[in-house]
Amino acid sequence: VVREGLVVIDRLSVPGHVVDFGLRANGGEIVAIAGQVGSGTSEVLRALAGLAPDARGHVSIAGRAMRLSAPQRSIRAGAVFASNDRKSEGLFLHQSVARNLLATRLKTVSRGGVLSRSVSAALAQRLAGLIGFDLKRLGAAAETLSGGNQQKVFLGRCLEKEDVLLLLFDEPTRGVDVGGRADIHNLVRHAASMGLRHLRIHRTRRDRGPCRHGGHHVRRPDHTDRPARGHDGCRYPRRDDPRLDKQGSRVSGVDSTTDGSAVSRVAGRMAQLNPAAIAVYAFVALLAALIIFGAFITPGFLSISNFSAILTSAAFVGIIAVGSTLIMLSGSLFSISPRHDDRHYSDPVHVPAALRRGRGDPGHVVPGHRDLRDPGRAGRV
Amino acid sequence: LIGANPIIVTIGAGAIQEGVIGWLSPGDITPPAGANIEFLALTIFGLPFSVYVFLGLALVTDLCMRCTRFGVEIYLLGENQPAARAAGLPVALLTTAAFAIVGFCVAVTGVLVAGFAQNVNLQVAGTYTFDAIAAILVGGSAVTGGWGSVGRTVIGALIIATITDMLLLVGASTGMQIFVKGLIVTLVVVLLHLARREGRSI
Repeated sequence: VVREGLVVIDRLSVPGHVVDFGLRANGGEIVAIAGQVGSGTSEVLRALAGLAPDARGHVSIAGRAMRLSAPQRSIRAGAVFASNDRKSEGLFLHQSVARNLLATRLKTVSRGGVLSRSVSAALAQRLAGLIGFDLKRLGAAAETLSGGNQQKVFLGRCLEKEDVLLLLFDEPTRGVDVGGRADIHNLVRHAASMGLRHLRIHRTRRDRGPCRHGGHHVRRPDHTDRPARGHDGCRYPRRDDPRLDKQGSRVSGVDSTTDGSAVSRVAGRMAQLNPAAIAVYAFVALLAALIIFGAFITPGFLSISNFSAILTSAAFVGIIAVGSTLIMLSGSLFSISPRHDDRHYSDPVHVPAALRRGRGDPGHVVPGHRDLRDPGRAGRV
Repeated sequence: LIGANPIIVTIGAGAIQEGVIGWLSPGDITPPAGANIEFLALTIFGLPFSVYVFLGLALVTDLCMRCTRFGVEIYLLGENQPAARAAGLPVALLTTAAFAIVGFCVAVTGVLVAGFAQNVNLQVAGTYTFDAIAAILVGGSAVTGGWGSVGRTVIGALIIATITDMLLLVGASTGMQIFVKGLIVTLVVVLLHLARREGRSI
């Protein structure tokens, strides 16, 4: 279903990053916003995702106005965002691949707040099939995957949701090797061809080598047979992803689902061994050792009344501790600041105090937002 | 308030409450005010009522953490807060719920302790805060979130209680007790940290 002006962005501003950005896009379309790192392109997507609290402007999706204040609101309006930083703002690295795939749709796999195992497993398998991920590795921790597979899992999380109208991909192929790149482009194109979906790829020029031409526009990737080379014929430089080095040079054009290097296979198997269970046995053993030790050094230790006393004091402490475990698990104890807005810029430019408006310190702003005033710079693929 | 450091807020709020109570009832030992809480000191099959409450609560919480949407979301939030936010999980709601549950648990403990001791004062549960944190850490949950379980905390609580009991039987002073507990917590945390780093460097 292609609708006229499915997404309309009008006078979108993010203080310090974006000034009066406007765009119209139809259903089934892939739009790329090009610009250097720090030019404000990321901020446009973040604002649409509800992750830039001070963004102003009018955005409507399928005729309905969307408020730019909170991620949940954006998601409810149908806009799903995939950050350019899959490690710190995307995947839950120590959780299983299946759980990562389902993280955004726990509601659809649960009945009355209780997760359904069978529904979860079925959905996870369907998504894995869609992104071309090895079903046997659904239980492995996300951190054991290669960069390309991680990115596929991350994007797969955003796909196949019934209520998604707009996908916001911030540099979806960052840190992905050539084979993985083609897969991801195919995924994005597939999602666009599903009709109602409208997607946007955003690319900033993150490569260190002179590969893309100033990041001006993204050409349609030639996914047939241009292996070890980039879309514009340049060799892609090695990325910051250390896994690429570990796995050695890959044969180009290989479907990275068969990505079965010994390293990752061993890691996957280790993850299945479930070290948590081993640790629990260790603690039970420690407890038993303590009791035996206690029996030796103190005479009355093994009496029933003493066990009762131990259990009572364990109960008092334990009830508090059980509750506090939730706080620990939720990470609330050490989450000092919920703001991570400007974290991903590598080279900060300091801003004079006079330019800082509104709340907080924007930290650093690269003064390149002029580019975005001209909507004509938003290239289409 | 969102975004303030939870540790500092908790310590601050705790100090305010304790200060007000200490100010209003300086060192008094208050007997239960008429309410019939004797049943809380009952023993069933030789074990006090509170033990059953503890085990029941632990079981329910553990099931919640493993099988409900809320539990999984708590794990995800603890694992990576920015990611949870970007994925649209209700971060503020989850955090508030977690703190509310702790509040409830502490209140339950308060009532049970009052029923057990048949009177209350400010010092009766003095070391519980430390002991509870020690129980979680000794159980091996990660302080930074996302890793651990309620079951581990139960084992941790048993270990801490056993140690406390042994120290009492040996006749150690309060200072000695705190010293030993601190030592054990530090040891376990360091060991776990090393073990986990080993495990991840594969």
